[in-house]
Amino acid sequence: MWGIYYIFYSYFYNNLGQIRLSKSLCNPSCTRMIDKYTICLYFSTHTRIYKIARTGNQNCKSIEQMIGAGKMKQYTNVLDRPLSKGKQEVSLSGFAFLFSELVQYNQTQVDNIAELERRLEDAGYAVGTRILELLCHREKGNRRETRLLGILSFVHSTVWKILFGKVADSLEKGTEHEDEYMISEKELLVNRFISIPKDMGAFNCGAFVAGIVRGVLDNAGFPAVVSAHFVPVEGLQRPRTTILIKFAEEVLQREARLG
Amino acid sequence: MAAIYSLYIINKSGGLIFYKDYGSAGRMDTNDSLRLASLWHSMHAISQQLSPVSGCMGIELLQADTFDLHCFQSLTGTKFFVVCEPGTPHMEGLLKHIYELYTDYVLKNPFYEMEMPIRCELFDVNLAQAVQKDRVALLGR
Repeated sequence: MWGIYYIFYSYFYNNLGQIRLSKSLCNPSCTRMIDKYTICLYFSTHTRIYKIARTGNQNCKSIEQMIGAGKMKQYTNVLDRPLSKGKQEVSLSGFAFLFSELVQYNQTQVDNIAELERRLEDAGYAVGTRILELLCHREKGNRRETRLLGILSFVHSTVWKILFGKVADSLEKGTEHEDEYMISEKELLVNRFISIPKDMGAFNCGAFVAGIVRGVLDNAGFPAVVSAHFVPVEGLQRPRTTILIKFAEEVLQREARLG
Repeated sequence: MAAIYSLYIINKSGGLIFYKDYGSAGRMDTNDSLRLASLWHSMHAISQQLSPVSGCMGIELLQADTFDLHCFQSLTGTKFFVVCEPGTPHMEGLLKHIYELYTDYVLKNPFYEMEMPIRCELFDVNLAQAVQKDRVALLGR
């Protein structure tokens, strides 16, 4: 599971072959001295970052401080400065066209609707993996939720906000099964412009969002089966979309053990 | 009280891709509507050639004794036209709004095949609302 991505936020900035970290992450998970170099290993949820520095080097200490404290720093070199957060929104039309293309492309690659759903979910899964990584770092101070309700409300509020600009309409626990939770949305952003043809039955493009949720949960250590469904609501013309989350048995056992 | 009789959308090669009837007057069967659509497409093209002014974009309004025909052509050549009661106002605005709905609910729908007849539930729903709003505005007049 570990070691899929190796990120080196780095450039060699002097002839000692030192890799400098320009982003703060967390305290090193392990440090190893080899000869006259120190290798520090940093873990975030899914990423390993190595830092190599010369033992006893003055700069080494300052790097430690930079990583540990995460305080604002005056950057002398423009290249050291972190990228600004920039505009937080993207064009809805732009997204709608891109998503439409994604669905159309996947449609050409499959023979049945179940497979299309699975492919969209896989596309979402990759997004979920990255979103978890990013948000744990940016919003949660390198902490990751370890409890069931914690991670669910993280998905329902933090993840939803960053993806759709709002928290999800509701988060409910399934009445029939203990291991089922539902996130409902009156009008899911990805479905805003999409009309499902009659011959496609219960297909829902929310499968992509279900994939994102699965990606987040899975990588946070909460394996689950996630699916998207249309649920008709009384008094409303359009059915709402419900993301159904069914956790794996081990998750509930662990949760029970933790009390 | 039906101010709008019918609405047509024709693709850039003159095929009818959407047709909707409002009210009882001037109802046509499918063949007639197809014929009207392709006839209008050709007339529109000819009018561009015959126009005495340069840079003419084709007929925008056809006025007859019993009806008005307002036409709007998008940059890509898709034509929207409504047949309505003589002297009905705000039709240009309505056509532009329908064009907007078309770009939103038809072109952004992954299950719509370009140049083919429009069968999108959301487009129908929003179109009905737009036309309804237009009627309410007329009643309040």
